[in-house]
Amino acid sequence: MKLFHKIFLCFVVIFGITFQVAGYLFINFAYENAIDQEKKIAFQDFQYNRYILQSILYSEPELFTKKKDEIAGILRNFTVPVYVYGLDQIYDFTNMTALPEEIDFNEVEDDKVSFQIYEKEGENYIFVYDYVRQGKNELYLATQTNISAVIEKQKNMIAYFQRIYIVILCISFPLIFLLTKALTASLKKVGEASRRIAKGNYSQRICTEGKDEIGELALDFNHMAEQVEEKMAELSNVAKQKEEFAASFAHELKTPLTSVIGYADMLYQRDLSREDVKSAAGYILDEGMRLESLSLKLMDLFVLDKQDFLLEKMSVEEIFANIRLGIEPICEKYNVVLHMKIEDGTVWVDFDLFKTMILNLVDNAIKAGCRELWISGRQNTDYQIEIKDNGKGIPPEELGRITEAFYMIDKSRSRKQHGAGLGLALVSKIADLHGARLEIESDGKTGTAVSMVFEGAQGDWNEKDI
Amino acid sequence: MKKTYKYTVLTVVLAIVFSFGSMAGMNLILKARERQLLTKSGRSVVEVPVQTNVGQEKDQNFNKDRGTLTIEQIEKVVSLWDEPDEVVVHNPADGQISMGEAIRAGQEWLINMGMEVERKDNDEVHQYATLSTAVRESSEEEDDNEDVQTAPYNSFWRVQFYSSSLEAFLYVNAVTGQVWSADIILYDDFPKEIPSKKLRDFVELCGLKVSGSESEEELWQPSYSWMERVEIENSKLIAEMQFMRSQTGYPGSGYGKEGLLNFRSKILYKENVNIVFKLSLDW
Repeated sequence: MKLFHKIFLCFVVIFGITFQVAGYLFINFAYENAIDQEKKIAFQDFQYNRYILQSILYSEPELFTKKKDEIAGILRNFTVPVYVYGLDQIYDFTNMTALPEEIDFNEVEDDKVSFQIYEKEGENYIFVYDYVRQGKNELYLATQTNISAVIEKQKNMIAYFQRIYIVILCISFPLIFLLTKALTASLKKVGEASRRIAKGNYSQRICTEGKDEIGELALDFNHMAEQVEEKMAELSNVAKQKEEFAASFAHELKTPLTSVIGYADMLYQRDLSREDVKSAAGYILDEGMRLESLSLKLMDLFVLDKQDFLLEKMSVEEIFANIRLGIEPICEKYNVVLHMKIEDGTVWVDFDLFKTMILNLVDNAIKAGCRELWISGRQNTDYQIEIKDNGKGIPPEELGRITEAFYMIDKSRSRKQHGAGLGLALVSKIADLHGARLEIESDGKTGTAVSMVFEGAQGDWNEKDI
Repeated sequence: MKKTYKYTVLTVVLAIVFSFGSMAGMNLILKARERQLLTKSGRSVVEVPVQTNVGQEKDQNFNKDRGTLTIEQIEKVVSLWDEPDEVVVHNPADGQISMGEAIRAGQEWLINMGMEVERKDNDEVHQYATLSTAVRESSEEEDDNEDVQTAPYNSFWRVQFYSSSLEAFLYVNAVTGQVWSADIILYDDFPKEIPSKKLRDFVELCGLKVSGSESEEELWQPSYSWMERVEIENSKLIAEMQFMRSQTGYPGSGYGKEGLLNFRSKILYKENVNIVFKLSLDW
């Protein structure tokens, strides 16, 4: 069942119940009031006619010794039909046409009167009766007040109310139907838009006009659609990157393997001189080492993606004191002058990853042919580490892609130095994991400066997850 | 689409069923309630809209000074009875005279005013008396009237006398036993002249005094009717008397008691004299 069916039914049920309950309460109130009014009038009639009877008995105390037809004559004096029933004498006379079925006379002289509402022969009456005493006369007087006209009016009121109810229903049914359809039409639009998005049209949006709940729903839907579109674009990029990664990886793998297979085949097929064999073996060794470096760095990248790391609060001085021991031999080997100035400070690091990152950067600087290398650390609100060299530098137009996996500016030089184009990709990944900001500046001629800004270590805890 | 259509039809059918079902249900409940209301019986207290001992001096002796009222009290009662919203019949309360006393007071008043009820021998006289009080919905300006409405002196016995020569409707105050208003129709023994002195007698019998100024009398004298009014001393009250002579049928030979048969209309010619005495407020 659709929503508008449910809303329509709910409205009809609520409307019907409310209208009928209100009608019942109103009609019941009016009915009770009308009968109370009639009772009041009936009691007044009784009082009045009681006085008439008492007046008659005051003038003629021996009235009831007279003949019945003479007594009946006095009935003309009463304003309503009456019934007179004597206690001591056996007389009763009446001009009432319709007496009630049972009349319970009680001999009580008090300030109360008895009443009975009854229907007879299609007419409604209020029968009021009480004990009356005048002089020596004791009797019961009853009066009859016809209330049929009032009852008829009440019945007409009920019929009129029901007619109004039917008319209002006939008018409101189609109105409510159309109204609920209009209200739920907006929801339909949301459904249709959702279906189009599911089919791939991520730019689908809903026009919002009102500021009600439906308008808010449309706004939220549009916002969700935007997020979906962005995520889809992001996923698309990621998929593309993975594709490119796989393609680059395959290419980087194929290139050394081709050389290895080629030279191995040559060694296998031919009888070569010692020098040729040595040369071929040298190529195979070089390419093998390049493959080894590639696989190690790929492994690192893979591990970085999969593993959770725990950062520790460590002193930068202590970290670099340790790293220095690894850097100095490399610098000595390549005749690079190392300048290291590290200010004291604390950072959140994974020591092994941090070391890998610094060593990769130093390695890149040396491969760029630098003569001097500056490593500095400065404590401000955060901790900034800078590694600067005076090597070949990186052309400014290449800086945007330098951290992509397998990207090499000078492929031949890199391969010669057993590079696979993964070093800066690894550095970038490690910096991300540490929450550090990595910036690479170079003019492509006088060297490169790589700076990393690490969040300063605050708080009493010593470890935190990344 | 077909499913939606089926649900729409189902919805409309359910709505119609519920709407008319609820209407039928309410009718049944109303009928049951009606049966309940129209077969009710029991005993009800008849409220007496009168408090006792409110602003009066009580005196049990009918013939001597009864409870006397102040001029202000009389004025308030007269004002209420001039334009009541409702007149409520009730049983006598403490401090109010009985029916017998009221009838006797009425008879005495008629005798004092020279209009005895029994004029002829064997003249059958019927007399009735009912006790009622005047009620008016009070507004902000009339808050005082709430006390007066429930006072015993706000009630009057309406005493009626019927005989072949006279019909009298007298309003006898339920506490003082004085007649404050009277409407008398004479069919016999018409007064030979306009009974203007009767107005002063009426005022005296009410226990009041006419204001001394002669110039306050107003006379209005067209041929068949006459009206006089006098001011009551030290009050806003006035006493009025209206005298009217009228006849039914066509006038026969002058002013007489024998009816002449009128052959054209066959209406019996009959004359009567209507005299009205009343106290009212002079606005």
